[in-house]
Parts: sequence; C-alpha cells; structure tokens
Amino acid sequence: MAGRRLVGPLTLSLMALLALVVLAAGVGSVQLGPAEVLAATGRGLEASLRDLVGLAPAAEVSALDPGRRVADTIVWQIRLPRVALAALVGAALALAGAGFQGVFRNPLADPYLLGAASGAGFAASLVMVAGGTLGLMGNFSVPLAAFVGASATVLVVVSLARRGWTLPVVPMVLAGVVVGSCLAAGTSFVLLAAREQAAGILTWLLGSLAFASWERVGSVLPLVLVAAVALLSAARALDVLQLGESAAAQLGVPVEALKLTVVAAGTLATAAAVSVAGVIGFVGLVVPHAVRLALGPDHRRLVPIAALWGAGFMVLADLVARTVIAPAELPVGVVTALVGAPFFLMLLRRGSAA
Amino acid sequence: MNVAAAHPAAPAGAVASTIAAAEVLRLDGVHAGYGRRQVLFGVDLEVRAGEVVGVIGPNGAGKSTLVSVVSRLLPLSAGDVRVEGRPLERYGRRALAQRLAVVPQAARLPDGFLVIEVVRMGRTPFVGLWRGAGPEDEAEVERAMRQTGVWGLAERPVERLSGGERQRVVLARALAQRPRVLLLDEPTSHLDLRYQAELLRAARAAAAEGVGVLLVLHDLNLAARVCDRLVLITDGRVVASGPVSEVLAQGRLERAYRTDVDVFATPRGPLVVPRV
Repeated sequence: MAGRRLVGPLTLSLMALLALVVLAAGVGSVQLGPAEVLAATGRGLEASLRDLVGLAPAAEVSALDPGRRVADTIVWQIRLPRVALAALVGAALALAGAGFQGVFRNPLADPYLLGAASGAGFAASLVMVAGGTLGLMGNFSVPLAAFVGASATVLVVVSLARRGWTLPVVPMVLAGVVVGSCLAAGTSFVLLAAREQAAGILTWLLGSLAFASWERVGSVLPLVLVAAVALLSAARALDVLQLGESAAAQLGVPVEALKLTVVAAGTLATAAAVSVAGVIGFVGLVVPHAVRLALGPDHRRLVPIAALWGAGFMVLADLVARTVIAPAELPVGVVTALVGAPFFLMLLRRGSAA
Repeated sequence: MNVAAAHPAAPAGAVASTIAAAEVLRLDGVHAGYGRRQVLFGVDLEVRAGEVVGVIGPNGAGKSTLVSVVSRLLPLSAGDVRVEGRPLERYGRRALAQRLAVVPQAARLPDGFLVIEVVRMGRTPFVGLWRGAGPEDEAEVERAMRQTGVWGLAERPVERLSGGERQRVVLARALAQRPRVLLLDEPTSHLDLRYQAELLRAARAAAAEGVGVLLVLHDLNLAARVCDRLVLITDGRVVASGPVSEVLAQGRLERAYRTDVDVFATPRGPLVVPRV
C-alpha cells in the first residue's frame, strides 16, 4: 500500500503554526517572550471564559502588577485578535485556492478567479464613499458589503455560465473575467470620483488586518469552518475529478454537484476572508501550489495542509507588514505580493522546464 | 507479466464454449446524435460475459458516439441500452460504475499522482465519502495491477510512465471497478506492437474471468486477432455482425470503407490490407 501519510505532515504543520502565532504575538513595540505570551493568553482566555459564563473576574487579576496588566492587554486585546484573524484569513484563502485549483483542474486558478475580489472591492468602496456605515451595521458595514459583494458577484458569474443544471468550467472562467473587469472598472471610477476617501479605499483594496478584533474573528470563524468541512468532504471526489469530468462521472462521482459544492465553499471562504481583510493576493494561489509541490496532489492532504500553511504564511506576512516600517504599516497584501510574486515566477519556470 | 499465463495462445474461439453465458450488455435500436445531427440509426448489439466483441468501421461511422452512449455521456434519442438486463437510465451513478468500466481513447492521468493512487480511484464507486479504501478494495487494486502488469510501478508518479504503461494503468483502474462490462475505446492507438499485444492480452485475460468486453478498434487486423465476434458499423448502422472471418469479407469491407482491399486467409485468421 502506498504510504502517503497525513498525520505526520499535519502535526508538524500545526506545531509550526502555533509557534508562529506565539512568535507573532510577542513581536512589536513591546517585545514579549514566548512564556509571557502564553501566560497572558492563558489569563485572557480564563477571563473571557469567566465573562462568558457570568462569573466574577478572578480575584488576583486586580492585584496584578501594572507591567503584567499591560502585557495582558497587548497580547489578548491587540495582538492575538490580529494574529488569529490573519491565520483565519490565510487559511480561508488557501482553502479556496486549493478548491478552485482542483475544480478547474488548473494550478493557476485562485480564489478571485470568479470575480469575488472585484465584487467585494466595488461594494466596499461604495460603502466607504457613502460614509462607511450602513444603518445599524456600524463597524460591520464595510465587511458586510464586501461579503455580499463577493458572494453576489460569484452568483452572477455562475448563473451566466450555467447551462441548465450543468456548470461548464471554461464559460465560468470567462464570465468571471468579464464580470470582474466590469466591477474593477466601477471601483476605479469610485476611486477617482471620491478623492478624499481614495487613500482609505486603496488601503482596503490592498488588504489590511489593522482593524482586527475578536468580534471579527468570531464572525468569520464559522464561515471558514463550514467551507473547510465542505472542501474536506469533497477531497476524495476532487482527486478523481483530476482524471477529467467524464472519467470521474464514469467512476460514479456526481460531477456537477461536486463543482457546485466546491465553488460555493470556496466562495464562502473567499468572501469571509475579503470581508474582514480586504483583497489579499497570492496566498490562495501560491500556498496550495507549494503544498502540492512538497506533498503531492492528493486533496485529502492538500486541503487541510494548505489551510495550515496558508494560516502560517499569513501570520508571517502580517508580522512583516506591521514591523518593517514600524510604527507605520504596510498593507499586508503588498507583503504577500512581494513574497508571492517571485515565488510564483519560480514555480512557473519550474513548471515550464519540466 | 503474468497476463500471458492467464490466457492461451489462440484467443479466437477459446471462449466460444461459453456462448451460453449471460448477456451483460445489450443495445436495441439505439438512435443517438448531437442536437439535430443524428449519428446512430438503430444500432443493435449484445455482449455476453466472457467474450470480446469488436466494433469496427470507417472514421465517422459512429464508433465514438456508440462509446459515449454506452458510457452514458450522451443520451439516447430512441432505443434501449441494457446492462445486465436493466436499462442504463435506471442505474444510479455508483451502481452503474460498479458494473460498467470505460477505458477512454485519450485518458488523462493527472501529474503528481502515483500509479497505485490512480488505480485506487477505480474503487470510487465502492468507497464512501469519508471511509478510505478497505482491505478488500486494496485486494482488488492489487489484483487489477497484477493482471495488467503494473504492480511493479505502484509507487511511480504517473508522469514518469511510458505510453504503453499509462494505457495499462488506465486499464488497471477500469479493472479495479470489477466491472461486468468493460468498454475500451481505441486503447491501442499510439502504442507500439509490444504494448498493443500487452494491452490486448490483459483485455482477454479480463474476458477469461467473465467480463464482457466491448472493444472499439480501427485496426482490423488487431481486431481479428483479439475479438470473438465483430460488429461492423457504417454511417451509424450495423452492416455486419458475427464471427471474425464472416465480417472481414472483401466485398463487405470495400463497401464499408469505400476503397479496394485484399483479404488474405492466414492460419490465425484473416489479414486485411488496403490496395494502394
């Protein structure tokens, strides 16, 4: 029996991700060691749990020395939400990329192939121009607009491309490109028309995790989990799909249902990521590719490990984004592109040499 | 290669004694086409367990359409296709894949997968969503790989296979489905003589185990060597059907292919050569 194992690489990837999280939560204007980070995390978690079940804060909290209290605030209130959101966004984009590359049977597919980014960008820029709030939604207006914009765009693309109950792949990609271009043009127009908000919109479009909070983590987590479960359960069928659609159908794979499931799950993950972090490029393209190169194309390993590597890559990229020109920040999308583009070129050269 | 041992030297007639075997595939008055363009006009044929039936005919006669119809990629416009007595459209996807396996003309083998992983995909109709391949699935995979002589290549990535090896891997994947009907569409095109022989021997070995094989071939002489019966299709109709030496008759072939041919009788059956 062929020995391609899942547990080993999965455990190693998980440990590496946790190490990265602890590192990232410790680095910043106030440097904290791993022990301090872990202790502060433990206390933050305990306080939140007590809060959750309605218990009074632990007695010794108020007795803490001020330095410790500052560390607790920095780790639990500022850095960890941001690190957790980075990890979630990276995992979501890598999951979507792995799914799209599998369903389109093309390693160049990425989460934004069907126009999710342009849709989110257009909707978000409109809301920002309108003052950044939608009625009662407050701080969640832009994320909500982005999420709806991304999902609605993919829905339009899918309904343009469908033939009856089938979803042909090439028309879907073409429709994605066309609809995406239209919306990107719309966004450019909004940018030009709204000069004073242009910088804010541009920052959002380039992707940033500066607005991270536990609420945002909580709002995205269930969406990403649903997408992950759907993609994991489609993994075996995605492997068979690589034989071609008709061969997969002849092996009993419900090809159309599979395509629809993966496109829906990928779009859910992408829309969730874009809604809280803007349009972050290259993660969804490069990470699944790298996993495939390192561990092979088997989706039952590719999907979960791409999620972990995507999370790790994003935590690292955001760490770079907020430290290289501190106290100022780079948009994290710029960092992923700067790292991702050369890496991708390398992959392309290797691909054409083979 | 242990496939040679599974099957005696002279194939034609070797299975003739099992002629009373169950019918596993039957086509009755099959009409089919693409939109308004009809390609098949009332095709009848049947395949019994243990026999190899060859479908021959000129380019454009409808051989590929026939394959699409039987593999349920193209709906019928009239007529009836039955697998083990049951109409094709009454099968669920998995139930059909447990009975009918297809080796397509230009099979894709996705880069990066190992040979054994590709063959294991043949067990797709038998495994569940989350449950991995069990011991009985692994046993079927090994059996199919040994039968096609690719067991030794199990851990090799498919992109490092030769053309002949690839085609045998595709056949192994089909045999791992433990089909009752095996449909082969031009499996030997682009293969040299040795690989043609190896592949067809493996197909015969499958028939010897009771699989009904429907083999689409454009090479008449290969068809003559490997098939128990031949079905000659021209312009979407069956124009001859029966024992190899009956179907490969000079006048009949000249009308079907619209060119002059010589048919030589040899100790191993007829040999067809076009006049140039």
